[in-house]
Amino acid sequence: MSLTTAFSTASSSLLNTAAQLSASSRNIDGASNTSYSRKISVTVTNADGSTRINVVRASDLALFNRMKDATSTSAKQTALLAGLTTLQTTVGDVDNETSVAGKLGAFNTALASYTNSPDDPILAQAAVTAAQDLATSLNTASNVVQGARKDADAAIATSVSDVNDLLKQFETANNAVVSATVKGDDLSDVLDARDAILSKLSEEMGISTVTRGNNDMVIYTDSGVTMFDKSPRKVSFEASTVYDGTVTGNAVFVDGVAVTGASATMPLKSGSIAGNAELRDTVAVTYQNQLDEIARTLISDFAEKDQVSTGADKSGLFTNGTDSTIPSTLTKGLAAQISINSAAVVSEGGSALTLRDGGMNGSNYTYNTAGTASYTARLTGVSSALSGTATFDSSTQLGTGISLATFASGSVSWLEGLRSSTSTAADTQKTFLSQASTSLSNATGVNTDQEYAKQLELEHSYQASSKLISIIGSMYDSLFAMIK
Amino acid sequence: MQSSYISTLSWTSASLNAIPRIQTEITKATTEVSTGRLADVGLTLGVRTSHSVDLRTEKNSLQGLVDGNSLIDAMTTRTQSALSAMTTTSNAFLENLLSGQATAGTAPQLETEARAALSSFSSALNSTDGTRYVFGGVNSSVEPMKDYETTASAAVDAAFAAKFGITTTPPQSDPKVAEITATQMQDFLDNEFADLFSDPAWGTNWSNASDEAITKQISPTERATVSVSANDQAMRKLTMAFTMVGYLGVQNLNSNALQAVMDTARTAVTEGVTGMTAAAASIGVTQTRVKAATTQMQGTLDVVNSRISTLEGVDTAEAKTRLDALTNQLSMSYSTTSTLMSLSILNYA
Repeated sequence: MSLTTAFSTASSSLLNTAAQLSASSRNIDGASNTSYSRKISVTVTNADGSTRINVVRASDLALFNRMKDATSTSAKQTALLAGLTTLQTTVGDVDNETSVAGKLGAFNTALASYTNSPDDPILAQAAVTAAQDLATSLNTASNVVQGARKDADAAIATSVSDVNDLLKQFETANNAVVSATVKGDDLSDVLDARDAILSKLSEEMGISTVTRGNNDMVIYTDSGVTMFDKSPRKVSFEASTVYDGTVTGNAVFVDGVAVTGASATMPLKSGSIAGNAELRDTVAVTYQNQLDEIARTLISDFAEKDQVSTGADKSGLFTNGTDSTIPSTLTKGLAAQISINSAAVVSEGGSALTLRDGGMNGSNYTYNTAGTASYTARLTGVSSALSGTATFDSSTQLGTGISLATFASGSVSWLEGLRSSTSTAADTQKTFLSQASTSLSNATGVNTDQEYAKQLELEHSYQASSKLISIIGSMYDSLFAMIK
Repeated sequence: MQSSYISTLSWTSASLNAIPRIQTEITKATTEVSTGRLADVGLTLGVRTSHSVDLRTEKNSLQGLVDGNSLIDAMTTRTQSALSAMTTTSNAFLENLLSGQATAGTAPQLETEARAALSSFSSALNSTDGTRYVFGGVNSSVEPMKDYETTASAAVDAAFAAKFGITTTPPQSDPKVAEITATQMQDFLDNEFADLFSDPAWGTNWSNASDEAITKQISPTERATVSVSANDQAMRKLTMAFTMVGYLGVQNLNSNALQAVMDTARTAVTEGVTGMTAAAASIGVTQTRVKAATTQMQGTLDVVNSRISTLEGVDTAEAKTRLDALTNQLSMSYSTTSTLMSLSILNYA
């Protein structure tokens, strides 16, 4: 081996060491960045026997996909749980009896006390006040439900605009990857950038990806609609600003295909958009239906019958807030409108005694025609209607042919049961996500201690190579000195 | 080369990630220790939350009935004391009827006593418990007994005058009264006069009360009759007895006719007192039933309360132990985190 070869080997070693040091310092730089993957320096031997350093990144596609899926599922459960927690404020702590079921119980008790002493005007007033509380709690609950739907709608709108932004960024990142692949440049940083966008995207909606030639990537939703193929597809959504029981939220469209809502042929399975859509279109709607059915049953249980001729039944203590008709089937949004008949409210010129006597709709509807103070027939009539079984719409998911009190407490159970299972699912998904990201981080992340140790090693290698060069230099020097 | 690899990020964040979870658990445990109830009842009970809601509804409805029973108690007690006052009045009157030989001399005194007895009897029938007239039946907002002078007296006078063909007013002081025979008087008392105390004349002249007694729910399954109506036969008999002695002009009757009045009055008062005792007994039965129902419901309330606390309650000792364990865990987490953070190869280089 000639001195020249030794010199060139030493100087190539210096270059390689510098390249490895550079990769290691990039690793130190990205140590605390979750989307950074470790750069690995690979020594490649060239055809002429010399060596060079290739930088590749540590990656694990399976782990990355697992984390992406866990992120989507967790985001969906978290969005759903947030909505359910909002809905739960309509129940509150059972001890405070703020729920509709609690207010219904309080009203039943007040009505029973009044039925027992119909000649006591204080108890009449107490019963009407309890009825007002009940109607107000239905109104409030309905507002909370629609507020939650509106929030979910707004969250979907934000998510959709994020998705569109991310898809645009993805286009840039993907192009960079493709061109770097074609040119044979260092891919590690551009791939990291592209993966980071995918991670963010998976929070909003569940995605699956396919990689084609030149590392070109295609994104589909988890239901199979193309989101990105060479160029981003349009994700569109029109937010609704006003929500009541009768409003159906708009669907999210990806590339013209509906992915949320009842008519969706390829519905999203995960991601926060799916969670919010489920809350807005299913959970909150069912809960609203339950409230509406409670309101409807109250109105029809207290309906006054014509005592003189064959006039239509008219609403008694509870009304739909506009007229005296009795709804016979599920009326969407009724819970928001139910109110107390002004004929029973003293401050509106009525009298609480109409609860005992009837006649809120004129003298034809008066039950207690003799005006006796301890008349109980009307009160026992409405009490038994309240405690008797009623028919409920199947969309409430609570069964039919049960009493109103059972229905109302069933509604509480339905909500709390859903919240409880969603909370457990969200916790499980969070744990799963945390495990997946730990695994991914361990597979692709950076250990600074190891990098430091490697740098020490490289430092020594650099020192040795430098020393070697200086030795060769001095050897040349002595050689030239002899020639001189 | 290396058997396992751990990134610095997961090395430092492992113990750090545990901290928020432990802190959440600590808040829950603190709430549970201080309230003795589950921190989030709905979340823990899930679908069983309806039990909790139903139990509270049951509790409220039982409490409502217990409260209602105390009102019933006030009403029945008032009824009993009125009945006992009326019995005392009737018995005193009966004693006078029995002891005094009915003569023209004692008649005025008996007449006065009968009028006083009728008045105190009526006022006892008009007793209220503060909210309702207890003898009114379901028509409890109106005084059950009408005032004799303003309503019934005209009917009594008219019947008396018509029977004995008297035209002067008041008919009781007419000289013809002295000529009424015992048979005539007995006939009048048994028919025309007795009719005044039967329906429909009773309702017109004497009473505003309803025949329909007040019944109340005393427990979730039991109803009880809690009132005696002023229309009860006993009340009518007694009113009749007081009226015949007080307002038929007994001081002007001859001794035979007077004797007929006295005999009829005695029978009526005796019957009336017996009826009154029966009424008092039936109210007494109600009072016993109410008391029993209240005791039973209080027992049920205890059971309901204990079921609520079984459902929602937590063992505070357990919660406290859990809190201590969590606090230890948290401080260990802090200490581990700081130890891990200070562990760096740089310190040894």
